[in-house]
Amino acid sequence: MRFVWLTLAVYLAAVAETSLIDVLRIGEVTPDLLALVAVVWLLTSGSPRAFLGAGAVALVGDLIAPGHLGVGMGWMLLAGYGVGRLRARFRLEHLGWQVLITFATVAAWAAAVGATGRLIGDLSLAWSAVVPRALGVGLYTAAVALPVWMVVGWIRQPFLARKRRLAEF
Amino acid sequence: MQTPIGLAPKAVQSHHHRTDRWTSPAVVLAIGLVLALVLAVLPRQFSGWIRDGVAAVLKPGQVVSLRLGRQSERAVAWTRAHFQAASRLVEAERQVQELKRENQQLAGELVAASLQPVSPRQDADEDADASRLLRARCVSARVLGRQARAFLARHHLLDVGTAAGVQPEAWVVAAPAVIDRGRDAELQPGQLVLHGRRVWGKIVQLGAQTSAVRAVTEPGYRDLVAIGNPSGPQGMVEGTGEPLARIRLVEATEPVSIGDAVYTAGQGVLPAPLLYGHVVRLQRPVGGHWEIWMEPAVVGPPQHAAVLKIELNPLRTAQQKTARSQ
Repeated sequence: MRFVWLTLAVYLAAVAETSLIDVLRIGEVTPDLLALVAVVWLLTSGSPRAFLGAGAVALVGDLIAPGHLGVGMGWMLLAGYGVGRLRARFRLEHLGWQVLITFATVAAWAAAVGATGRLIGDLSLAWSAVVPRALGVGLYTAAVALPVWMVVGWIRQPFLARKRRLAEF
Repeated sequence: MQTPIGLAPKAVQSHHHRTDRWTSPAVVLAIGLVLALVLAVLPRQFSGWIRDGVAAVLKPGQVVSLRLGRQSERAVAWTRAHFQAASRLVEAERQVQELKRENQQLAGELVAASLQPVSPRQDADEDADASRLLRARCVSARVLGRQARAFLARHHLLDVGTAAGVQPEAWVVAAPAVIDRGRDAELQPGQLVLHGRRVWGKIVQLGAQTSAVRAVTEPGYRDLVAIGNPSGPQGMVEGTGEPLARIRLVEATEPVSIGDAVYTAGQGVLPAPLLYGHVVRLQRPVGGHWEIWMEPAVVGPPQHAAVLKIELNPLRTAQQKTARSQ
């Protein structure tokens, strides 16, 4: 069932990114909705191999964007692996942590993808603009993520409570 | 976990170990990175096929999204148009209220102009009407300003109030308004003082050549009034010393609304009523009577005024004398 929701979310995010992105644009910065879906998947999936799902989501992003395939996927696999390790050590269920992780992951991933794209010639962006734009994308995506995380929290609350009761038992 | 049938425990452990090794996150990550690298070096021809497939899958969603976008733009435009219409409506209502108020003022002035009793022709017409027992006449007067009153007081000409033991100098300072007609024009206390067709006040004290006027809003002023129209609900207007006069004794069941004109009531002599002012505030007290506040039609002392005199019609009395003598 979770994969059905993931597929639906990826489809909606891809449609929004390809048809509504001009509406969402603030200056040169747009939110990366597929990256947001990937991060939500990373932090809500209980599997240690959740980064595979995040990588698949990033691959869809590569497919709808110009440039080489696999760049976003590769960096998202690495970022997702890091988030998975972090999640194994700390409880990241608080809204503040979730938004912070979203910002950090998306900003780092966007910076890495931008730098790689600049290296292999997919992007004509100046080097000095790569990191500021990545930070802008991360910030905007984190802002968009705030209501998303709130809704996810409301949906998951009964499941988490049940999980805690079982752990106490 | 169940043991696979036909395998010895050692073989099972070895199988599990191999499975765990190949599905550990680090190995899966490495495989994923290799796959990403392969995709990155994939010829554009192959990646183009995949992109076309993804674009075809996304197409219906994009169409729906664009339609929704257009619909939402229409909805926003519709909402904006309605908000603009609403703001235009509010502005139009404000203008209507303003025009109504102007209309009321103009109606009052029209009534005043239509019954200007100082007109000689109208006086002649009224005089010619021998069937009327009473007639209304107006005595023109000039309102004396502070300097004029001070001058008259210095020359001992301002005798208003002296009968009541008030010194002229003190009276000049205290009196709100004085007109330059008194007993010489056969005026009487209680007669209405008008400005055009609007009531300014009443004569309260008489002198030989001057009279003191109490305006509608001054304490002690009382008169019977009709609200809305001359045959409307009647009440008692009282001066309170505030800019607005109060109207009392109007039943709360009577239809009164803000903006209603207030006329003199119970005159019976004039062909049209005199305008007192307009209702500007309404309160419904516990006692079952409206508490009405009226803005006077004449604010502040005017330069010219007219004192309304009601007297016997000399033409009719003359006719009666003639009939008796015959």
